[in-house]
Amino acid sequence: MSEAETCATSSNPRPVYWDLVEKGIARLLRQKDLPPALLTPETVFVSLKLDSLDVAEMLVDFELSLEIEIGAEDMAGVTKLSDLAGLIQRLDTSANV
Amino acid sequence: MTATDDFDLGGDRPSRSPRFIAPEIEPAPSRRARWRGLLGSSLTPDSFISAEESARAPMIAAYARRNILTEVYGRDIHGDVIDIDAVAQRVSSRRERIFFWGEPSSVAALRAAFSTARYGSIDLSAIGHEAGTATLALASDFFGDGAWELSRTGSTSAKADATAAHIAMLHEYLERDCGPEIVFAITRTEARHASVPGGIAIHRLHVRALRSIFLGVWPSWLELLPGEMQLYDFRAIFRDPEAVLERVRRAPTPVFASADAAEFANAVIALSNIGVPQAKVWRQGHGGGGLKFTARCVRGFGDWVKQRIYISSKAHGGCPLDAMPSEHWDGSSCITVRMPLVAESVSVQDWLERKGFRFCALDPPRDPASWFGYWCRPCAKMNFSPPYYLLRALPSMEEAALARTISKIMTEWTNWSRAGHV
Repeated sequence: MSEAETCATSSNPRPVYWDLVEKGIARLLRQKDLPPALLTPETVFVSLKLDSLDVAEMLVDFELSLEIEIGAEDMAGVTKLSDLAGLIQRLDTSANV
Repeated sequence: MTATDDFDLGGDRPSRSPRFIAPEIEPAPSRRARWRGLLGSSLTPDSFISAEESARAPMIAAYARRNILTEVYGRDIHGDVIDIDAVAQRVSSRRERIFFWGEPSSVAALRAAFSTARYGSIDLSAIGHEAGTATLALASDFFGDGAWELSRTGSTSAKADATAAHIAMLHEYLERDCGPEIVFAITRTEARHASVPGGIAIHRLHVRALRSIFLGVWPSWLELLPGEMQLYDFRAIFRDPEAVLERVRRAPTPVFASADAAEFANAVIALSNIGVPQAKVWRQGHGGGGLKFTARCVRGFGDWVKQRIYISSKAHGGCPLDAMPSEHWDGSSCITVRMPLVAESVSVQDWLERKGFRFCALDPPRDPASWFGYWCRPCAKMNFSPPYYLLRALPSMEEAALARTISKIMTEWTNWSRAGHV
């Protein structure tokens, strides 16, 4: 297990989960003609001003690819993009236990 | 490559079964606690206009809703939304409860319009800008006594989330003693098209946040997608889930004319966990002469009849289905028949299935305490646009099996249409 995996927290998720979020958000930024520079772990989710329809479709993609359920209550705690990656990591890890 | 391929982490993954269509029924106390938790601080007065507030300015609410839905769906909105005077009357009498949400600036603008004393002083075509709306409407004509429908949903706000507004609205009305016994929703399911926002977000809101119960499917038609028929979900939220389960326990076993229909019903019952899946095929015909039907509702817009629905209703007269005037069977995009799942209806079921109808949805026992079922048939030559979840690999084996059944219904309708029956 790598150091990054050992030290993973919600604000410092394992790279594999960050990659997942990065791909999803990058696709939305392209669709919205927003600059890629906005894509950092510290970026506040709502600052991207993404359409809730787009976000919902991205979450469905995460859910189907990882076979997890992202509840509405889970999303309530998501502020930064790293929080989203951390949430997905937590849900995926607990689903595998 | 599909969207989900991008997210494949690789490796063997254990079998799990998150639900994408049919969450299990949730007891009222845990639903109440979960909804309160979700509401938290996410819904503030400056981002939400309740139905009660709308009812104090019914004309303005009617205009705002029409403007929002027109901007989202163009001409393809419920015909009854356009008749402002009639809507205002229904809002005043609380038969329609319209609510709105949005960014604070949008809600403030709408609220200012509500408080305007003279309609002539404001631009009615501009109200409702960058806001969302949904309606809880009395729907006993469609779905029987005690039924309401959550519908006429749309949003022109790119930022505001509809979740908290829906929960606030449902929480308030379902908690009332005289509130709706059951709230149905015909939920959009289509994937995003270039010209039409898809139904994934509203469907996900139902599955994840509202956890409405999946009761079947419902063909519908969007003018924005000419020639395409969509297959939406038929879903429900119960005011008192425990009472529903109790009525299910007491109700006679639902019976069907065909094994396919009985299997579909059992799959829906098992997935939603609303009873013992013991629907069965009833071979002995009892004749359907005792069942009479009334065309009680028509949905449409302009000159186009979008959907006719026939309700079995001994008490209200009517006539047998095969005695309905021929014009009743033509000229609409879809016909739906609602009837009790009792031995008396089996021969009618059989007659309907030979005419291309398929069992589409269940309706749990209310009063009278028997299950009801819906049979649907598209009447226009259209291609079927499947729900987004049929285009993806569902992890739950039970839901995957349900999806195959839904696909089969769509295929049978398509073949029936291509064979020149419409």
